[in-house]
Amino acid sequence: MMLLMLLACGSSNDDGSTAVDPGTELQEIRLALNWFPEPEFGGFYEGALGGHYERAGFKVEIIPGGPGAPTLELLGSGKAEAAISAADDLLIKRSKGIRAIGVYPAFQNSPQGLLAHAVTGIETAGDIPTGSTISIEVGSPFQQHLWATYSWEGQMEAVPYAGLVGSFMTDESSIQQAYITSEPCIVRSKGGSPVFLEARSTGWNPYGSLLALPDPLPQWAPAFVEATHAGWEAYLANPEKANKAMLDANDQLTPELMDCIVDAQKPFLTGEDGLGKMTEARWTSVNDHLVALGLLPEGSSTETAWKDLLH
Amino acid sequence: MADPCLEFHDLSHGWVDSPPLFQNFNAELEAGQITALVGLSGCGKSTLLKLAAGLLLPQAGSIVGRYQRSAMVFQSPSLLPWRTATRNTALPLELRQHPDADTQAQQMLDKVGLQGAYDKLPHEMSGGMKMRCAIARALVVQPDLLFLDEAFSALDALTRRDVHALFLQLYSDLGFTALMVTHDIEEAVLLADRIWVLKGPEAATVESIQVKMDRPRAPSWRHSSDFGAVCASVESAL
Amino acid sequence: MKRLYPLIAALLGLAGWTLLAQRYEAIILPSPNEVFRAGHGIFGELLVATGWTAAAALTGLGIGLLLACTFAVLFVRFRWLELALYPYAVVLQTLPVIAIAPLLVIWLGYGLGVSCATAALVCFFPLLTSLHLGLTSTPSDGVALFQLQNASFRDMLLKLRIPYALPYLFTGLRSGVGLAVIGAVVGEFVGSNGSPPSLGYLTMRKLRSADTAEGFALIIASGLLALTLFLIVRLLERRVLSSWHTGGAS
Repeated sequence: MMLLMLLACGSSNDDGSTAVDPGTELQEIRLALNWFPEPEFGGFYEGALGGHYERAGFKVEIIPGGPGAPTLELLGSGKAEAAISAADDLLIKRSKGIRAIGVYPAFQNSPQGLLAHAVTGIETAGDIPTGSTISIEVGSPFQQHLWATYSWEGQMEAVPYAGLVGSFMTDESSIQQAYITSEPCIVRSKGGSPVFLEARSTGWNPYGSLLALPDPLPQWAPAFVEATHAGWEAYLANPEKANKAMLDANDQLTPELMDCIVDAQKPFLTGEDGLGKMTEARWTSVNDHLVALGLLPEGSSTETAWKDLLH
Repeated sequence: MADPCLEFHDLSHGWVDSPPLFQNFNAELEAGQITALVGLSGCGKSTLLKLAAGLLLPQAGSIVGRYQRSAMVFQSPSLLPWRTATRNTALPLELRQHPDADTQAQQMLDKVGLQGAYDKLPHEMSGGMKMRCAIARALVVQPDLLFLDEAFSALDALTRRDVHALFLQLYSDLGFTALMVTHDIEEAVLLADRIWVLKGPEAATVESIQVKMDRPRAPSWRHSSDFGAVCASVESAL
Repeated sequence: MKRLYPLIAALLGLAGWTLLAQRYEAIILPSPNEVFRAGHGIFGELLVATGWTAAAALTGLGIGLLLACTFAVLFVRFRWLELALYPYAVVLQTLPVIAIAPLLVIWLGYGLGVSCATAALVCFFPLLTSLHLGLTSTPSDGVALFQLQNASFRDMLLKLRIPYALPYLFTGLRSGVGLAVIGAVVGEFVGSNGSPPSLGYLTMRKLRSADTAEGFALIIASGLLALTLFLIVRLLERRVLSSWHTGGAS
């Protein structure tokens, strides 16, 4: 149920992609997710179920995660061959010695943000009234970015985010961190009317659901990235198959919830540059923000942190 | 005369930071006799017994022992609560890896009058029964030297009388050497051949009083005038 | 009549809970009725999850017990070892499971191992202390008895010290069982990806999705699991130690 495995069973070359001769052993890849199985990983599930990975010669085992899933550490210690992370997390972990490279961003725009009740009239982070209590992952780069950008030090109270939507529901003034792929839809399903303040609007936009591979890159990396991209394209076109697999793997999801999430996340996936694109400018921007916040040492560069294997 | 079973040479012992209990204690324990150690509370008689048994090491002086097996009967029976009378009695033999430990244990239990109690657990036995069992346990290894540490003092007067009688009977049957500590002068006089009187702290010498009474003795002897005389002499020695 | 006291207490508790729940939304504090219905609704899942958590707790307890026995005996045999290591044993218990769990995931990978480890971590120290106390509280007459017969360390350990230590061990186990369950659940709460589906993981998922009634039902299941294990320990205790006690068991 939770571990999705594909069996080796031949291949076809009709789409012109890198294919494997029948009878060759498939490369086993353990892909560690950094959250529960949800549409934010749709393309990866599609890649596994739609045969994209298999045709490229990979046998992918998706390992679901949850809060605090140490995906890059698992990659670093050899317990996974591929890990899902985010651009800011990758840069920080690299500076701490984890050898990983970002190779494919599923989310062009960061799915992170803040959630408030629509009835408050808040539209941007700057609208949040002074003295508010914000439920957020204290110490995280996003939290530190917000406090620095809006000078919230001493103005706003940060309380640790426990992930419980319940308290948000009963207090109209409550503000908490959220991911477009999770809390807004859950709140709506429980009858609430939330407004989602994108991280991008606060100037914070690291690539999300970022696929990371070991550094130095293994020789199967380009093929894997190609197959991943194919999976995501297929998922955007038709998410049904992958969604069904995720529904089975995640009993907190309902079809209605899934539909809500799939719709909500679409614009974040494609952004302006298009699915799967990475630019120097975007990486440098995150890097500079992290250096300014003191989370990365001075003089850090992103040169070796990422590699576009697609284009 | 046979060599003494136990010799104390210039024995000194005391607790740290307090005056010594005894200094330069010299004595010899005759084999085949029952020697009683009496003295006021806190004079160190139990400690002396423990030293004699080898459970404590003396601060100064030495103890020479010429015996092969020893056993001890304690003030409380100290039977292992999870073992039956038979298994408790068999314990010393078991520790020495004797075969037939249980059989010999039961024979010993017969001797002390517990033939019906083979499978009883300690909590099913009366105080007197437990004490008899403890005695059986001590004697089952056929010790050359038997130590008794106020063994009968926790019994009520009536039970004590019965156990005294038993003890005298066993002594006449088995003939062991014994060193017993007691604060009951009458008990000492009734059971022992010799009484060592430890006088107060710093008892350097021990007054040795002979109890001249033939064996086998009967508890009824306590009512005679000789008995009273010996008791008086012990008391005056204290 | 006295046997009914716990039942009466439970009923009073339920009544109080129902009254309190009327003041709050179901999403914050569901009523006993709602929790019961929710639990009934996910009963299959709940049973499976309880089974997995029980497995983790018991395995963790077993590991903790094994380690506690080993170290307790070593400490008795080698006093220098006791002096060197005993102070640090308490540190193991104070390690915050929440912080350790991700490390365990990295070392062991997701799975039962993480919650077994957290369960063992939490119950080890109380078991060690009670066992060590038991082994060193052997009545001195018994020790003297064995010494006079020149008993080996092994004989003294197996025939004297350990049996006398059993009541202490059971005291340690009474709290150890509950701690093992807590340790397992917390480990699952922060260090599990749902494989296997355990109480801690499910509780976390339900609470996160604001399915508070289900979450409560799962929490109660954890409590009942701990209670059941506790009662089993008491039963075992009565069996094993009955030969020591006078007449009726305590």
